[in-house]
Amino acid sequence: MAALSITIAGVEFQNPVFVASGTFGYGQEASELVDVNQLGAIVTKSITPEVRIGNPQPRIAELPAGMLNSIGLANVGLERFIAEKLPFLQKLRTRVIVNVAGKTEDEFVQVVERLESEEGIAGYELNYSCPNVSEGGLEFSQNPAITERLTRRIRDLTRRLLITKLTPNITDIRVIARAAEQGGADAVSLINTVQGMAIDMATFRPRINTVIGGYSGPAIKPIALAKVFQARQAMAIPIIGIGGITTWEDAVEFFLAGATAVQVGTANFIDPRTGVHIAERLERFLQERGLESIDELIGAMKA
Amino acid sequence: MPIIDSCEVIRSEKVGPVLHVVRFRHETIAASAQPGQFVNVLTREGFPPFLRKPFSVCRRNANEGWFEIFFKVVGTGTRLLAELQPGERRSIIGPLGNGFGLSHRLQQAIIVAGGIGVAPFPFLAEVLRQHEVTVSVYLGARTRDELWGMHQFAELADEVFISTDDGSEGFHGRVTEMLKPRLPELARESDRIQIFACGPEPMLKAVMQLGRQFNLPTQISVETMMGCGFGICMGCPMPNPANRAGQAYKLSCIDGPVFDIHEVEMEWPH
Ligand SMILES: Cc1cc2nc3c(=O)[nH]c(=O)nc-3n(C[C@H](O)[C@H](O)[C@H](O)COP(=O)(O)OP(=O)(O)OC[C@H]3O[C@@H](n4cnc5c(N)ncnc54)[C@H](O)[C@@H]3O)c2cc1C
Ligand SMILES: Cc1cc2nc3c(=O)[nH]c(=O)nc-3n(C[C@H](O)[C@H](O)[C@H](O)COP(=O)(O)O)c2cc1C
Ligand code: FES
Repeated sequence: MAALSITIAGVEFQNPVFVASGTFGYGQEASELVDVNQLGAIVTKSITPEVRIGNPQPRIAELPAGMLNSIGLANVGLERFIAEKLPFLQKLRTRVIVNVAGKTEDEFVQVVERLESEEGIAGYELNYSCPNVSEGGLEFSQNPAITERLTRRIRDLTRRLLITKLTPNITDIRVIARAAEQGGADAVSLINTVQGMAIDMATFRPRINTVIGGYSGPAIKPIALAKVFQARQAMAIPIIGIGGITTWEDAVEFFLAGATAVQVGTANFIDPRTGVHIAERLERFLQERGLESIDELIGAMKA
Repeated sequence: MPIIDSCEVIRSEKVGPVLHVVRFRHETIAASAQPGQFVNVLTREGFPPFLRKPFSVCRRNANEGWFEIFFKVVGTGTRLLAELQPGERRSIIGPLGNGFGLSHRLQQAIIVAGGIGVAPFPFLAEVLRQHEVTVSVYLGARTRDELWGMHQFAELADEVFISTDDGSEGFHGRVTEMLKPRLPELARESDRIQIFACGPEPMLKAVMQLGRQFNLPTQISVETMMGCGFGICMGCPMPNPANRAGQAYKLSCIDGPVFDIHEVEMEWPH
């Protein structure tokens, strides 16, 4: 798979197809159904300092071309992650990126500081853009000054790959992408879920407990592509494209719009092999087109 | 261990106005499934419906390499499944979840099923029969047309009691009302008895309450919304018992769908 390998800030990935945070558990759950070692990277569920039980039911609602979620960052918490989940991930050939979340900037610092002494972690992805938590959450990620400051604080703690994950729920993604770059991020990943809502006809009730939640799946792909394209023009660091990716053609679109790598999210729920299938087909696509590497596709959309 | 594979439909049968049984060929799933486990079916290529749809393994034959799902048409996915013809294939993940727990002391099983909740029980009854457990079935439905399960138990159960909400067949009223008078007698031998229940939420709440009140070992199979069915989306939590509030919720797809009534609650705290 040489042609598929990519390098971001000195970290090599065997292919550019990762699985997105919150859509692949901690790696082990799906490992009975797919050879996770074939993925470019696994991005873990968001890890917070303490265990989070998340929101009550209903947490998900199915829509015609995607879904709404309000999981509320349910996760086992930092210490149990290290004790129970990390050992499996450390044994993999696939790169592991730990997605970090918190209610305050200090909580992000706390998680990263603690993980610095653990092996087998290629990098961190900062999720300060989750729309489903009442504290922190969106206001954080819509603010360029906070974006830059938080990224900087984590940058000062680690030499590992640092990715700032961006929300689409903002007027101008270019401003935030630049702030992340200025804060010292090695890459940005986008997009997180799009704010969305649905109401049940029979009961007149909202279909998820938080009323407004995160929209994901094929329906948001055009939104994500536009954001990747805009961010690409605004700054220089690599972009990891996320949003509705289900097929290899979807992935190619993201590369053409300017992404260096992609993450497969919601599609894993329907088929956890999606990422591996996309990587296989991408390799064939490069051969068929006579391309040497993925690099030749990045940002190659014609005007 | 679950597998993901394309499964061929080998039989499709309409068994009531909106009830269907579809039989899939798959040797591994047929051989490894346990009663109470489910399969997650992709009802079509593409979407909608966007997600897979979960169904209990209703019957299986390990020798012949098939398993069946029994379902009610309630929306797009189940409508598409009802239209399946032999020879067509669908992607299926299974078997999934934790099935019913069978203690070696078990001598008498009380099966309580409401409506489509009867789905996992033909398989369970068959396994119980092999273990020489006495099987009593309490089967409730809204109306006589929805009593497909009744005929399944003729050979599998020692006794079958029927109730319908509208009185069109058997006891006129709720299945739990029909069961309740029997519970004091059963409670005296609770160490060799097990209640297994599956059905709509109000029925499960009632069974949970009765199981606790009469101190009878009781397992319920729950149906929550599911995003994935195998533990990666965190979309299917069940509330904790009040005394363990603050601990991580149980996930119905991997910790369940079968739970002991002391493991979970049916109501979310406010
Ligand atoms: C572990 C498990 C086992 C199940 N086993 C069976 C079975 O053996 N036979 C069977 O007929 N059904 C079973 N169900 C329910 C079945 O999955 C739903 O009926 C199905 O997903 C509906 O899909 P649809 O696209 O036809 O309807 P949709 O358009 O998705 O929904 C139609 C209506 O059904 C409701 N609904 C959808 N999904 C569920 C759900 N998971 N639980 C309760 N209500 C729901 C919706 O709120 C809506 O009102 C099971 C569910 C679970 C979680
Ligand atoms: C159920 C669910 C849970 C998610 N949890 C997280 C999370 O914990 N942290 C995070 O950064 N993103 C989370 N996301 C967002 C995804 O990583 C991804 O950015 C988004 O879903 C868009 O991609 P998709 O359309 O391919 O799913 C979650 C998404 C879903 C659907
Ligand atoms: S349905 Fe996805 S975790 Fe249970």
